[in-house]
Amino acid sequence: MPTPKTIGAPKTLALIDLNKLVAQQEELLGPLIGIGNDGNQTLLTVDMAEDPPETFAVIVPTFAGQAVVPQGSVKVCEGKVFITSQLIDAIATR
Amino acid sequence: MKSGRLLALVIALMLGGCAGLQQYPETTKDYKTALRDLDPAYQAALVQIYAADSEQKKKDIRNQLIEERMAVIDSLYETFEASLTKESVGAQFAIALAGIGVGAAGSLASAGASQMLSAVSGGLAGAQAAYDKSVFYDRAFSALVAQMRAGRKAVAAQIFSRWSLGIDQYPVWLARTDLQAYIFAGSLPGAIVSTASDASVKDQQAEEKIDALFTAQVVEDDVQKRKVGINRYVRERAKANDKEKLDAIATLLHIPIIPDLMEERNSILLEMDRRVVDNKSMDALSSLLHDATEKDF
Repeated sequence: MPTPKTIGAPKTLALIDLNKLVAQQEELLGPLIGIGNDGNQTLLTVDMAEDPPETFAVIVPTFAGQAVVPQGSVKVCEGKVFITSQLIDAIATR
Repeated sequence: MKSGRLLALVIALMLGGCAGLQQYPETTKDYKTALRDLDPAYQAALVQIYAADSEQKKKDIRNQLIEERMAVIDSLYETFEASLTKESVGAQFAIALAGIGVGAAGSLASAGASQMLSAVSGGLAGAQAAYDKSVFYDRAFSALVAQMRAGRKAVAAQIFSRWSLGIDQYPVWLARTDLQAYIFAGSLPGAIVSTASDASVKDQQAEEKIDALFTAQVVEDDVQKRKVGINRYVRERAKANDKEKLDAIATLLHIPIIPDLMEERNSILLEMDRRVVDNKSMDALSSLLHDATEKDF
């Protein structure tokens, strides 16, 4: 049974730093299963019932509903996140 | 945002009568004269800044201009807000709202301020059964005043955050734009536009209201390595069913002892994650838990 826990990420983070934070948090808490925002910061939801993943998730912005998904990766979840304080559509891939 | 802009436009049209819509701002070929006529103090400040021989002097001139204007804007705003509380203005406001298509209310009479404002900014129309205009207008009006105050604070904070920047990073034209934004934030159209923008963000987040447990920070690689070390230690203790050890760690962290071992493990992992943002805080955590772990991390 999943144990989702949600933590925040500063809205000012650049994409590269947001992805570094995702990797660091997955390594500590478990795999990312949800992304979003509360209007003030990005929200990252992890499943603490699972062990930390071997491959970390990567957040990718979408444009007109399309995203460049890294080769060999699949979409994990989607939502609106802050990147350098701008709210944008994104997906998380793994 | 779109609906807010539209509403602001409608208000502008109402106030300006029904003359043909001008689609572009006026322009000029004589910018110097236009600027002198438009804002002589700003022009004078520009001349002084370009003549100043040090960065500090340039900043001082800019900041003096900002400070003078903010004092005047604040004073005028106080007068404006005080005038809004007069009884007759409330009635005019109600008429204005009705005129721009805000025929809402009903369930909104018991709605929160943001819903109320969304209704205002979205130009929500349509009658509903239990219709209480007076409650609606009173609450919408109060919410708009609150929004003006909040908007002004936000712009003032932005100006203050740029206060110490050099003239290259925060030129006078940008300061002037911020000051214009400060004036607009303290206006009814400004409050409506701002509310529409807020409502848009809230709509995007409203699908599921989730509160973050804490805001995580990116840490240096060496700190992360240490965090992973202590994290794995706790995970191993949990796998070994060592409830006594987890209880001891929980006690040292001042978090509740939870009967369920995995729940307690998760609480510990989250709390340790929350506490450590650099080597100093990692040292503190390692030291704090040493009696229980008998290890340095």
